This record gives sequence, structure tokens and C-alpha cells, in this order.
Amino acid sequence: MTTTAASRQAMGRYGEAVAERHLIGQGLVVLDRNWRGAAGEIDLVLREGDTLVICEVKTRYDNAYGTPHQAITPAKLERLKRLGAEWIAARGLVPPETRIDLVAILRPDRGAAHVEHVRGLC
Amino acid sequence: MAVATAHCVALSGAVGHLVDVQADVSPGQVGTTLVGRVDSALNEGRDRVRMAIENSDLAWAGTTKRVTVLLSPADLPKSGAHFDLAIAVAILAATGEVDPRALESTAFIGELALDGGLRSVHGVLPMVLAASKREIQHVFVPEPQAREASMVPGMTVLGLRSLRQVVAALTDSEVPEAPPVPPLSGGRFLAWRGAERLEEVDMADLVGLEDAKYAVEVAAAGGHHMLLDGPKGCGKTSIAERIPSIMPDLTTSESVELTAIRSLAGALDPALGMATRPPFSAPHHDASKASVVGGGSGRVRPGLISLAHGGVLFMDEFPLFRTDVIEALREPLENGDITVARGEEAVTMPARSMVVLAANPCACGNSTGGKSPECTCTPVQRRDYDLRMRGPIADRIDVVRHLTAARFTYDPLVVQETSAAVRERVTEARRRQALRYAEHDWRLNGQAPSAALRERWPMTREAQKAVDHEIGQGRLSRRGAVKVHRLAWTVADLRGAPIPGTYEASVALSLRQGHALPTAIVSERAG
Repeated sequence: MTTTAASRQAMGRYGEAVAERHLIGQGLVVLDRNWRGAAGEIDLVLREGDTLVICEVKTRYDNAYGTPHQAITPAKLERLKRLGAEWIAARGLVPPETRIDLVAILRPDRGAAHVEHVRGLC
Repeated sequence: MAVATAHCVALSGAVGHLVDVQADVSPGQVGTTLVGRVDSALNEGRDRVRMAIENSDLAWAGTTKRVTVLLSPADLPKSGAHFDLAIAVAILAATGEVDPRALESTAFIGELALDGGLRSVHGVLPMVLAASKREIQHVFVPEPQAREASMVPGMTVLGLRSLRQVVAALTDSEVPEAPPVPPLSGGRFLAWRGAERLEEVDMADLVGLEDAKYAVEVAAAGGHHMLLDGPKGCGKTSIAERIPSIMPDLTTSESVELTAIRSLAGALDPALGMATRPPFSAPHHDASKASVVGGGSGRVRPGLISLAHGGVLFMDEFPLFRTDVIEALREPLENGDITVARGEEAVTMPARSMVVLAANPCACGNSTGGKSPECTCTPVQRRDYDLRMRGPIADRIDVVRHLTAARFTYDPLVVQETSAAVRERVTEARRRQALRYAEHDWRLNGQAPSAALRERWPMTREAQKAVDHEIGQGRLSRRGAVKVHRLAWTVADLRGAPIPGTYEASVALSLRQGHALPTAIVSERAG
């Protein structure tokens, strides 16, 4: 399959929508989406109880280039931490706990998408 | 809960420690970590295990999960690639590919190749021995090593070829085909180096030398270290390599210890089974300290002195050995084991052997004693040589024999005594010693501490008087007197005498001081 910048963006938006629905279904409250900071973008900012959740969404057609889990490198994790701190500073909040989550979405050619929510990458 | 435990064994020297290999597979940042003081060969096992699992068409959890493997006790240093199989099985059990209950009281030993095949490893026997002492009843090993593992009584051994076969055996499904595992190379080569030739030799091959034959009999019976000196070609080596043939079979514990050492050295031929006969090992005088007492870089390998455990360590041309080698031999000669100390670990291996030293009368080997015209040594050479002969090891020698180039005529009517006949007497003498020392740690006169001998097993008053006289004359040191006491007991045990008397003491004195033996002994033995 050929992908273009537009199709990749469409794929990303699709994945983020699926992830948001999934997380709301799990009882999380969305505080922000696609928030841009100096270090990049946070896909979703949510609250689960007292915990602030910085969430990264990864969408794939297949695992030929590694799983979505493997795409979270230590550098990426570091960036997410910095972005989280930035978001907190921007909103002037003091959450008792913060964590980083991953929603991995596998969307095969046919059939339902597979959604996995990994809590607490760190 | 995604945790499972498999068992393996860590070796330090010949001592094995049971290790729990615990795998945890849980959500988190993907990656595999191995913790618990692992060395680099073991740490590389992360990649071997991952590829072995993937290439065995089994699910590798590490692509979406965090895999943590702990080898506990965490403070014990662990090395070697033989943990691979246990790590793989623990991870597969943590993800449910294998029932974790199938791993109970089972140990897994083996290295994995990338295609999922098993590879042979060193030291399987001592590992399985250690496992059996910790209530492990089943063990999985690479196929060529199943025989070695099954030498341990009461152990159910499964020798397999690949990870898929192991998983199949654990899940009670049909075991798939796999290419055979090559055995370790070392075994045949070392076994070929003369072990078979030494089975053939017999004391009856040697004509004459009755005096030396008797000395060797005493030394073998009581476990006394000995020194043979004499010019080239007088039969020092011939006699020494026949000593194992007059020694009785190894005791059960010696047999297990020796076989375990051979397994560690990679010199175990599983086709031969447990070692039963006393070994013979003869390091060359250029040998390094590591090769004689053990050590080497990385894994500590047993030295030749450990490979001679329960048998004979023969050091030909003894004064030419390197000083550090000779110094290092003091400990095994005293204690019967050898400790190789490293940065973080000290490895102890058994090394109770009878040491036989051989030496020419001088460095060029031409001297026939005294001022010999054939000798080409310079005075300095001669002095250095004599100094080495009186070094720390010579101090621990009980029996000294000077051989001369044999002057005898071959008489076809004289029947030489066979090793089997001598072995019977030696066995009987050892039986008497075992009985006498039953409640003590030592088994042979040569190992008996002097205080115990003095208090519990003295010689007769007259015999002691004869020995004291030698001390008074300055011909015998205190240390030498203890050796004479031990030797006298062995002479008594060989004759069946209840206590060493003047005869035994005089024979013992001659053996210690290198004097000619009473003609009665020599002629009686010459038939």
C-alpha cells in the first residue's frame, strides 16, 4: 500500500478518535487533545481518578515494522515526560500523580480494529 | 499474574548452587532485562533466547511486553550460557505457553542456538549433582549429555535436541524432529591421549627395580608422596605410570568428584561412565600455573592436579618446573584441595592425589652421582639444581628412592609379580587403614596428622627409640620423624602387623632417607 502524508495523517486522526472512545469507555476524562508544546505534541491528556494521564496513540496496519509498543523508545518517553511537565505548567495544575500510557491500535484490512491500552509506561 | 520460575544451576568451580530463574512478563516499556549478577556470556542470552523462541514458532512476549528475568539468589555471581534453556522456559511459562506447574522440581540446563537448537555445555555432572541435593527430580539437558546427567542416582533425565522438543515434552504433545546436537569436542581427544595405553601397562613388565617397586607399593598403600631420582633411562617414568595399576578402585566419593572434575574440564567421555580407576596425569615441566593448579581467564578450569584426584600426579624433571607452579602445589599437598582465588570469587576444587616427583641427578642428566666425568653441568647449574631439589615441595615428600641404571640379567625362569597381585596387598593395607581411621576425616597414613599419630597410634617403644636415635645423630629432622612414623604404619599395614615395631621403623627410615632396603625385602620380592 502506498501511503502519503495525507493518508498517514488521516490514519493518525482515525486512531486518536478510536483511542479516545476507548478511554472514555474505560472511565477516563479527556482534558485535552493534540496539545502542542515546545517539544512536540501530546495526543491525549486525560484524568483517571486523581492521576493525570499523558497518552500516546500509535496506530498500525500491521506489525511488519515492529509493534506499536516497540515504537516507544526511551527518547520518545523522555520527550513525553517533558511535554507532560510543560502541559502541567501551562495549566497551572498540581496533579498528585502523573503517568504515561500507550494506546496501541492495530487496524487490519478487514474486521474490527484491535485496541490495547498499556497503563503506566512510566 | 505473569510470573514463572524455572530452575538451573550456577557453578563455582566444582560446587553447584541451585538458581531460580524467574521471568516476569508485564505491560510497560518493551524490552528484556536480565538481573542477578550475570556475566556477559549469560547476558547475551537475552538475544539467543529471543531468537530461539521466535525461530521455534513460539510466541515471543517481548514485542509488546516488558520482560524481566531475575536469577536468584541475586548476590551469587553467575556465568555461562547454560542458563539459556531455563530462561526461555521461564518466559514461555510466564506467558502461558507452558504450564508453570510443569517446571516444579525440574532443572533446565543447556545453551540455545538462534534456530532454537540446544547446545552442549561444560560441567553438566556437577550441576546435576547439586540439583539432586536440592530436591530436583527431573532434569532437561542437551541430548549428548544425557548419559553424563544420568550418572546421578535418582534423577530422571531427558536429553533433547531443541527448544521445541522441550516445550513439547512439557506440554505432553508430540515431540517434533530436530537435527542432532553435536557433543563437546574435548572428550575423545583427551581420552585418546594415553588413558587406554595406561590400562595396558603392568608392574610385571618391569624387570629388576625390586627396591623401587617395594617403595612404590608402600607409597600407594599409604598415600605417601614420593621422589624418584636417578639417571636417564633408569625407569623412573616406567615405574611412575604403573602406580595407578596397583591402586585399588576409587571410592564412591572420589569417583563422583573425579568424574565431576572431568565434566568441568570438558574431558568427560560419557561412553566411559563414572571414573572408577585412579587417574594418572603428567604435566610437562613447561606447564603454566593455571594448567597445573587450575584457573585460566574467564571460567575457572580444573588443573591437572585436580584431574589427578584420587590417582597419581607425576612431575617428571621436577626441578625444571617453574617456581610459581611448585609454590602453588603446597596447598593441595597439605589439604587435598586447591583454591583458585579471583577478584570476586574463590573456587575450590578437590585435588587429593599422590604426587610422584622424578628428577635427574643433575641438570644435564648425565651424572651418575658424585663427581661424574660425563656430567657437563657448570658448578652454578649444579648449585641451582640442588637448591630446587630442596624446595618447599621436597619437604612434603615421604618416600625417596634413588634409582640406578639397572644392572641385571634377564632370567626367563623368574616370574615377575603382576600389578593385580600387588593391588591386592595395597587394597588390604588400605582396608586396615580405613578401619583404624573410621571415625576421622583422613583415610590414609600419609594424611594422618602427627598429633593424632603420636597420641593414639604410637610405634613400639624400641621403634621410637631407633627413630629418636636418628634425630640425635642429626640424620633426621622432626618433620622427617613424623614421616617415618606414618611410613612405619604403612609398612606394618602391608605386612599385617598390629603395630609398627623396630623392623617397620628401620624400613621406614630407609624409605625416607633413600637408603637401600633390607635385602630380605628385595630378594623375597625377586622370587
